[in-house]
Amino acid sequence: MRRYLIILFALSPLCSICQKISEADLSEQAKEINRDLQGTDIGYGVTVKGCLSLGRTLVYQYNVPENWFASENLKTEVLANLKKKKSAKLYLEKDIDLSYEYYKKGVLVENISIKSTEFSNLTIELGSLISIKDHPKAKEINMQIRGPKGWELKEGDRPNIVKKFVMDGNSFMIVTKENETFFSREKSRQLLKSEDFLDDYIEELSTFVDDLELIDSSIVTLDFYPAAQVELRGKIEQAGIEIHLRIESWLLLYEDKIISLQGMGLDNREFSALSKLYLLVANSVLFPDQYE
Amino acid sequence: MDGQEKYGPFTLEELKSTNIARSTKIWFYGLEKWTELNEISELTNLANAIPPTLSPEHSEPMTMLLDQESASSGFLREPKVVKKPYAKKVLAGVVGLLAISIVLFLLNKRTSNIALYNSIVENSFESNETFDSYIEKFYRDLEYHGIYPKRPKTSIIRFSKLDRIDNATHIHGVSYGLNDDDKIEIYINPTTWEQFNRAMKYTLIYHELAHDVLNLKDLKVSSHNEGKLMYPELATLENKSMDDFIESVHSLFENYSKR
Repeated sequence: MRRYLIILFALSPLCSICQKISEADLSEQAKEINRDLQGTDIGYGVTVKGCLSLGRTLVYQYNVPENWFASENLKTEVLANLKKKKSAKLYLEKDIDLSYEYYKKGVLVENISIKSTEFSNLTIELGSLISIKDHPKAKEINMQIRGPKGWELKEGDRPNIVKKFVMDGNSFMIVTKENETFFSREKSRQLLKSEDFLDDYIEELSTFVDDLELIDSSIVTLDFYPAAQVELRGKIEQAGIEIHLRIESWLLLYEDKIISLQGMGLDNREFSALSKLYLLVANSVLFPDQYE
Repeated sequence: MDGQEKYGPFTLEELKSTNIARSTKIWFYGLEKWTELNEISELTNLANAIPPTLSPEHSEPMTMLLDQESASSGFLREPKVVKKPYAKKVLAGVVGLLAISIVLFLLNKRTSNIALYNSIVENSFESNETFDSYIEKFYRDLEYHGIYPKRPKTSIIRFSKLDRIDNATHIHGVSYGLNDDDKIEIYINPTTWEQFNRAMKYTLIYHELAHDVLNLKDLKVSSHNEGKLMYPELATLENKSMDDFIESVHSLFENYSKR
């Protein structure tokens, strides 16, 4: 079986934009910002008191005048402003929380906190149903699936990738491959349960991803077909940049084919939301031929 | 028999006891037309046992009708007691006649089969169905089970309008490569194909390929064999799934590989 798992895995090139920042690096960044901005007047009598880091939180402190009052929707306005400037994406990808503190005569009068995941544009909803039947790379598999709502549907750029849904560096791919013979659902379940199968799969992935770590695996059912659900983390190096990845995949032995549904994203707190979305996508799979 | 009237039908045994000449015309099922005895290769022994004619009147053509049953299984019946001077020869000739009857039976059957084959071929036609992919998968699955039969260069799988052919009306598919390792030759009933689901289509093609490539015969019709790939009654497949097909293939190939 092992040789048939080769090149089932495919990395999305869209993941190559992020390098996770350490807490020590964040602390250095905060000190630099503090040096550059401390005392700066940003208008209406508001000045920068300082900048510091607490764990993965970057804390911006401001001195405000006596006549300053926080608006009722201060957090919403700040969040919208950050998203508008596209700096939200940076905080999201680098997994940095933000805190804004407002002082009057040295007394804290207002405080808002924004988690990095709040910068995400993810919506946990599915789009319309698509079919890969008769697709030249589908290898005669008749499968239907709903992608994440609002994600772009693209053609695969490699022989085994049929389609992929992409959004902001995240991707969900449909990968197919010929198997060495037919397997019934019962036999497929036995194979997927075997330790050898999982070991072979992880070993193959190790050729693409460094420090591969199995987070969890289980046998689930997708439209009456058994599937191995495997959650992994690892890192890849691209152009000198180290990228930390999370992979949520479902492997099916469908008749005489192997199907891999593969969701990927950066290893940050957004992935927990992504993981839920990918689970929804995987559960939307239909194999109509069995209902003939 | 005298050139004006027909006699018979006779069994070969009865024919032997009549007053026939080498020029007597005979017909039995399988012959295209009334034919002189000495021109029928299947009755050469009989013709040679008759002395040549001395006078022209004995050379007049005679006609003998061998009915279908006599020309085939009828020859296997118990011979009648012959009350003629030839009787002493009958016992000795029984064995020879029996042999001839068997040969004739087989020839008749062969003639009939050839006619059926010709009819199936004439009614076959090209289609867009990719039967070759089934052959590829069949050999792939054999290889998976460690079975490596000869791969013939000639592979013919075509649709043939079996519904329009006598004696083939209810045939879903037929293989003509049995015991011929130099070719695969299978004809599929298009009406059946249209009605079958994927599992049944796979089962039909694999069933015929198992005949053709592995020279396997149909299993006996019994509840014990139902669901097995070589079970001949495909009507039992109506509710079969791909899993049923897959398990029947693995079961057959696993058993075959143990031979």
